[in-house]
Order: sequence, then structure tokens, then C-alpha cells
Amino acid sequence: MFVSNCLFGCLGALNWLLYLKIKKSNKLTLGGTQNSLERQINIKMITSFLIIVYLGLLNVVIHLGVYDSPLIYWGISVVVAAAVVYSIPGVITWFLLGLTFYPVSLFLKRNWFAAHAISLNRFQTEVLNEASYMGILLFIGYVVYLFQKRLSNTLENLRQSRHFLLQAQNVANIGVYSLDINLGKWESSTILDRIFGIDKAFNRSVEGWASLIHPEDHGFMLDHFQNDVLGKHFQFNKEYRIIRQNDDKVRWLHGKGELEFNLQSQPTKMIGTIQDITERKIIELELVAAKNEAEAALKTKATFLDIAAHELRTPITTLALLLDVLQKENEKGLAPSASIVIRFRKQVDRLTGLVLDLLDMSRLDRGIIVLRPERTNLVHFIKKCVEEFRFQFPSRRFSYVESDKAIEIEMDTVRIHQVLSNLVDNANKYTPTDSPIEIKIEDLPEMVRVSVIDCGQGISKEIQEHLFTEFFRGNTQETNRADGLGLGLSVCRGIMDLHGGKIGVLSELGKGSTFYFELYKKSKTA
Amino acid sequence: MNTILVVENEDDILFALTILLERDGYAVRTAQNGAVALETLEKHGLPDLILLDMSMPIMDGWEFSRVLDEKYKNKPPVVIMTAAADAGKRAKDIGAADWIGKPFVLKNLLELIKKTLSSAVPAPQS
Repeated sequence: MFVSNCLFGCLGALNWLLYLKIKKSNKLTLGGTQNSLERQINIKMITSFLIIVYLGLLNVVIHLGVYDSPLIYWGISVVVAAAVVYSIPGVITWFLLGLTFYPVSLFLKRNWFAAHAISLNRFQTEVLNEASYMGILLFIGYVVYLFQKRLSNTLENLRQSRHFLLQAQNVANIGVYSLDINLGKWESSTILDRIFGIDKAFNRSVEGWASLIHPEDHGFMLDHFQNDVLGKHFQFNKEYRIIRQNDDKVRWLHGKGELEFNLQSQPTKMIGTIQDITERKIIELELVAAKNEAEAALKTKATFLDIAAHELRTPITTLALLLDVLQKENEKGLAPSASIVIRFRKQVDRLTGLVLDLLDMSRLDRGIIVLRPERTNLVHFIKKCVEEFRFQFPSRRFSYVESDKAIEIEMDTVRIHQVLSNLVDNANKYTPTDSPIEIKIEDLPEMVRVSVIDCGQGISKEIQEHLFTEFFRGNTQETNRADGLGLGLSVCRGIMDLHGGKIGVLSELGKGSTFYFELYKKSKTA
Repeated sequence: MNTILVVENEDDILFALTILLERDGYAVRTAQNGAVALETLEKHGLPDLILLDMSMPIMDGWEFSRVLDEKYKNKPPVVIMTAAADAGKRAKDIGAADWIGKPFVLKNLLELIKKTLSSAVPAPQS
């Protein structure tokens, strides 16, 4: 009796140590709320410990000879178990074990060795009984040990795989969720909480999720969830933006989810993953933008070649024909007439203009135009320009109010002259010959504005947007009315950019147009 | 003497072609655009050939050809002059007799005019 009780004591102590060890090693990695699996493991461990204590007690009771009152111990043990295990399955297990106590005690009481024909003295009987108890108890102890060992291995494996899973989720930034469709509530992993930027208090419902979605994606995401997933039972699979709860940052997510169904084929759950793909998405969007830009550049190039070829053909055709005329006159021994020379000059000027525009555009593109700013009296400069325009377009009326106030600024006079003549050229080209062109200087607080005002047909808002881009020419239906490559205004913009100034247009259809440029009075180019 | 109507908005081309064609023995009439060309037709009757530029302000080559087809049953052959890349297709679209791309060599233009005039069905006498 003494030996078997010692064995029980050891077994119980070992069991308790094992339990503490497993509990300690798992505590750190499980994290979050205690889930049902962990609870079950706790119950099993405590139960097996109590079985050993119980069997020890049983041993004591049998040896004390209190065979007739096992029910008392049974009752006590059920109460103890209920108090310790604190769970329904624990109490049931304990109850069933208690039930076995009674027949076992009755069986042992029989002293079944004495029932045999072998005659044994009291000592011999005592030894044999003790040996048989020990045998039974060691067997039970061994079974419990095996059970615990398996449990311990299972737990270790579970711990390992859970660790890997968590690490993988962490590295891939993948959060996991489980949505109860009937309740409309979801549970989330810690990584998902981090992705959403939410804390424990967050309302984990469908509405809560919807409130995180970026306003622009809100509509189609709810539509996808309601119609595609819940309605048609498709897989949930979308890339969408959220506004992260804790820092209000826009993040790109990739959400995936599968439905789970009950026996009536009704969806009950949706389990899925959410990955933060912001960094990848940003690169993706940049690539798309770069591709579009490259395509636009190719298109611009094609447009340019088209326009350039067309624009070059006309003056070349004209020059060739004029040469033919010249040749004929020459054959007749006539000197070239003045009118032919003027016509030659006009066509060559036109070609020169085209080539200069092209050169400027290419230089601006490559950033190799260097300004030569010098201190200039703008009022005086504009006055000189207007005189020049009057000479250049003798049939056009230019109105210009002279002012004697000097406005000194830093600018590249050649380039600013180019901008102004371009604006005047355009005004001349697009307005009836009899309407005047006004040139005006305004002295604004920080800047000086020079405007070229015409009474032409005006420019619609849509066209205004494109005016300063390359190769754009107003009124595309009559493109040939306006010669040129459509580079003039974009070259002007480039020049004004270099000056740190501005260029713009104010116009309304039917009310004429005002093209203006502005220069800082205090030099910004320095 | 064959009469040629040149419709072209580029003043210098009109100037040069007039001199060159007249020197080659044609009577030349000119118009700056389709609308002016139609007026000329009203006033002076049909020429033997029309040299037509396609892109012109006010009334371009397409519009002019359309009105020409509508108004005149026995229209004279039209030769178009264009800087566009798809000149052949344009010529077919408006039912032109032939086309020449800009820039062109005078010799080729004169040959084309000669060829077109000789192969044209003479207008009915009545």
C-alpha cells in the first residue's frame, strides 16, 4: 500500500510539472484572446491530473478498509472536480469516473486470491494484493503518461505551425478575418487590425468595414459584396482603397474571401485574407502612368511628323513653282521681277519661322535654352515693339496707351520679344483685318502684366486648356487657315517658365481674347 | 485653247501656276477657295479641267466637289493637289480624275494635265 501511494505521488507531481511546462510554452505564442482550443487543452490537462489524485485517494480508501462507503468519496470528488475544472465536459468526465469507483471497490473487496483453492497465509495474501493493485495502477499511470505525451507533442506541433503561420502573415502583411454572415460580425487577426489601423473597441460589423473604405471605392465594393458574393456566391476578390483608421492614410488592400455554407446551402460564414498592397500598387500605378505618357509621346511624335510634313510641303511647293517662273523669265532674258523676290522672301521667312520654332521647342525640351537677362525698362521696350508691329502689319490698327512711368525689370529681351510677337502674330492671324489689336501694360503689386487684346471670335474653355500644349492649333476644322506647327504658344510658355513668370489667356466665345504674360518685378531667375 | 480653273488658297502658288500654265498655252482662271470657284463657274461657265487644292478656308475641296457633282451633270475632270499623305484615297473619294502630291515637279504636273485632257470624254456639243 505504501509503495503504490508513493508511486501515485510521483505520478501526480510529474503530471503537474508537465502541465505547467506546456502551459508556459504556449502562453507566449497564442496571444490575443484565449480561444476554445486552448481552453480544451487546459481542461484535458487538469482532468488527467485529477484522475491521478483520485486514483491515489481510491487506493488509500481501499486500504483503510472503508469499502462500504465509496459513494461519499465519489460525491466529494465530483464537487472538487466541478470547482477545479469549471466546465461541463470536466464534470461529466468526473461523474463517469466516480461511477466506476463503486464496482471496482466491490471487486477489490472480494480478495479474489483467497477465493482460489491455493491456501495462502495472511502475509502472502497481503503481498499479492499489493502487487496486483500496483500492477493495475502502474498500467493506468502509463496510459495517462502516454496520453499526456501525445498531447504535449500535438501542442508543440500546433505551436510551431501557428508560429510559422503568424510569421508568414506578418511578413506578407496578410490579415485574416472570419465573418459571421447571419450576425454580420467579424473577427480579425492582430495583423488585420494593424492593416485597418483599428483597436479592440472598433465596431467589427459589415458597416464598420464599409466605413473604412475610401469614398471613391465605397460604392463598387459594397456592390461586389452584396451582389457578387452574397447574391451570386462568387469569391470575394477585389483590390480597393481604405482610409486607415489610426492615421487617416489611404492604403491599397487586396481582399479575398470564400463563403462557407450550411446543409441548406445557405452561406453562414466568410473566411478570408486581406493584404496591404499599397507599395506594390503605387509602383503599378506609376508604371501605368509612365506607359500612358510614353504612348502619348509616341502619338505626339506621329502628330508632329504629320503636321511638319504638311507644313513644310506648302512653302516648298510654292518655292519650287516660283523657281520655275524665275527660270522661264531667265530663259527669256528677263531680270527677276521685284514681286517674285518678295514672294521668295515670304516663303523663306515662313520656312525659317518653322525651323526656329522647332529648334526652340527642342531646346526647351532638353533644357538647354539659357536666358540672358538684362535690366530693361519694360515700358520703353514694349513701345519699341509696338512700333515694329505697326511697320510689320501696316494694314492693322494697334492701340497702345503710352505711359511715362518706367518699370525696370530683369528679362531676356530677345525672348520676351519673341513671346510678344508670337501673341501679336496670333491675334493678327485669327482676327478680321479691320479690327484693332490692343497692347496694354499693367503694373500689379508683384508682377507686371503685358496683354494683347483682340476682338476676334474668342476661344472656348475646352480649347483654352490645350492652347499652350505642343502641336495644338486652334479651330481644328480649319487647321489650314493657321499655318505653323502649333508650337508657338508652347514655346512661349517655356520661355515664361524660364523667366519664372506666367502666360495665360482670358477669353469667351464671341467676345475676343486677351493673351497675357506676367513677369516678376523682383527677378526670380537669379 | 483649253481652259484650266486653279482653286488654291496659297496666293504665291496661284501666282506662279498662272504664269507657268499660261506660258504652256492654257487659259487660266483662279479662285482662292471653293466658294469663289463656284462663282467663277457661274460667271464664266465650265473650264476643261479643274486643278483643286483640298484644304482651303471657307469652302474646302470636299465641299466644292460635292456641290460641283450636284450642280453640273457633265463636270470637267478634276485633278487634286494635296499635301496629305493619303492623296490617292482622297482623289477616289471625291471622284477626281487624278491627283498630284505636294510638293510636285512642274513637268509632272504639265504631263498629268495633258494626259487628263486627252483622255477626258469631250463634252456633248448640244
